[in-house]
Amino acid sequence: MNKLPEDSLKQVFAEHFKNLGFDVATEVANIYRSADLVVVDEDKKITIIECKISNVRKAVEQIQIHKLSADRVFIGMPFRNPRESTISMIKNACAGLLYLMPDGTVEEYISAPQLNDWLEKTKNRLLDNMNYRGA
Amino acid sequence: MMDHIYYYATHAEQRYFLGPTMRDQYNKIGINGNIVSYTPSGVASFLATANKPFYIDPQTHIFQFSTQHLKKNNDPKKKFKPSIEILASDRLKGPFSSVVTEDKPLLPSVFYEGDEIDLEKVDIICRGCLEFQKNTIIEEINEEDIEFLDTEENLTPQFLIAPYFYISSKNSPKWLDLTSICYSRTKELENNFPIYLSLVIAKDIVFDAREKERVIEKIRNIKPDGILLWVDDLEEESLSVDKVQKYIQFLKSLKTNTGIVINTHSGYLSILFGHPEVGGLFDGISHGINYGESRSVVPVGGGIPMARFYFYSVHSRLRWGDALQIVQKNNWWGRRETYAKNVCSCKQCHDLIAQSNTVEDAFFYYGRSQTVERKSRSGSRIELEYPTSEAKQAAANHYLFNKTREINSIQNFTLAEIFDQLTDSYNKTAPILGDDQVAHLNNWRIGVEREL
Repeated sequence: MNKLPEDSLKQVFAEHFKNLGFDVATEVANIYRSADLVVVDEDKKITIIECKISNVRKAVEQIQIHKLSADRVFIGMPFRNPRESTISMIKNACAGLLYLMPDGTVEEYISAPQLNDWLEKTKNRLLDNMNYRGA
Repeated sequence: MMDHIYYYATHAEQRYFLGPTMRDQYNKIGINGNIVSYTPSGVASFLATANKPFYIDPQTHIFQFSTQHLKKNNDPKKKFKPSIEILASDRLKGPFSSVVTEDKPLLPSVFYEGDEIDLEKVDIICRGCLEFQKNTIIEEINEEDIEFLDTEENLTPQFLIAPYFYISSKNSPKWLDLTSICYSRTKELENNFPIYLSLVIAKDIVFDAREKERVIEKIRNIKPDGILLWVDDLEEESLSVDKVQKYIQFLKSLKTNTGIVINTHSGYLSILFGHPEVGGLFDGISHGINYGESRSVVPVGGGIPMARFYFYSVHSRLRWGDALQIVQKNNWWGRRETYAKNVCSCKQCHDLIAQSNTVEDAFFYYGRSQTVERKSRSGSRIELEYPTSEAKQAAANHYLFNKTREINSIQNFTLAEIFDQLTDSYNKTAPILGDDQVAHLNNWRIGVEREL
């Protein structure tokens, strides 16, 4: 079956973080939603990336719940010149923006702030689910 | 005091109706005709133990639609569900049994010869419907269960329901005529019980002035003893201010033409409509054990099961994760008193806190899940969480306790106090969940305020 472009986008971001040495899993259950991409570093700091081809507004909505289980959250998209309003929306949501550039590289276009909404319980639950997936 | 009716859908739900604390949460039971038909002795035994007033919904409207909805898994190629087959063939009889034998939905033409209604057929279905409701339970009670009864009257319904059909602006106007004639004939046939009209209608009957008048005119003529109202797929949270006002106007019209109005699928707005200062527009509300604030007349698929938490101040069954966001971002964990004041102090929450290490542990009990893997539409693997059975059970208990609290609230608070509570709740939750998810709190308040 042909993969949707969004699935391909997730795979590219996943490969990028794997190559940097992080633990990575896609489509991990998190508080009854699915996190597109979960990236964990050696200190167990968690980054969740919601991948979208378009519709940043929807990604911002979806990412709210993930903030309860992550140290940082990003929206991951193919590169395009963002409008000021889009940048503000992402910054106001305390999220960052990752771009897949036309040359295939990944660029952190907006840095994601360190979050403090998370709970130990939700983080551990996400890590358990990630192990279930075989990160 | 408003009637608080639990709808009994499966025998597995008995634990929510019985037992010393649970049985104090409601005062009446509604039962579907198909479960009575299929397992009359089981229902009789349950009712003998519950010892509460009850009524039986003969569900005559279900035979109007494509027969696939009456079959296992909604599959047109499969057999009819046995409970439906018995309800149609052995209990209601007449034209209802031909739906099963011929595998065709009931059409208005069955009851008409040209434009003239066939009163003989009306008489058959009215008698069948009465007989079914009056006698099925009492005939099936066994000797042991009789010992639990104060009198055998405890096994007769509190009121009876005339045959009825779904009415919309789209379907044949003959269904309304037929429903009205069935009511009048049933009333002639039965003198010992109150006869209720089951008014199952599309939303446009409530919100369109001309459609509303078409239905109200009939009700004005028959003046039913009581009305069980079911507005198809009406989600109270989705109503605009204008629609809240129109809903109130519709109920006022009903109320002037009958003694009692009960909403069979209702949320908090219906309870608020029952407030004495709003005019006591509903005399009772009914809901299922963990669903039923709104329901489609034609059954729809269930979707992926999701842990939900009834958030009292929002008066809505939120996704557990959304409820978690509200509690976390308002920092309502710490002390038990803070949680009790802002989130919930029901017996279920109290028991969970007592047996847990922290308030947080107790709240997370409602979100317990098991993980399963599925394929997405694109074919990739996707992981989903399903609530565990103990989480679902705790959430159901919590929901039922909160419904009782809501019903008590209309006795304990003035309308002005309730309006303040709605505003306060909006102010605390909208900055977290967004206006869209809690806008109903403002819409309900403004809509009711404008119709006072």
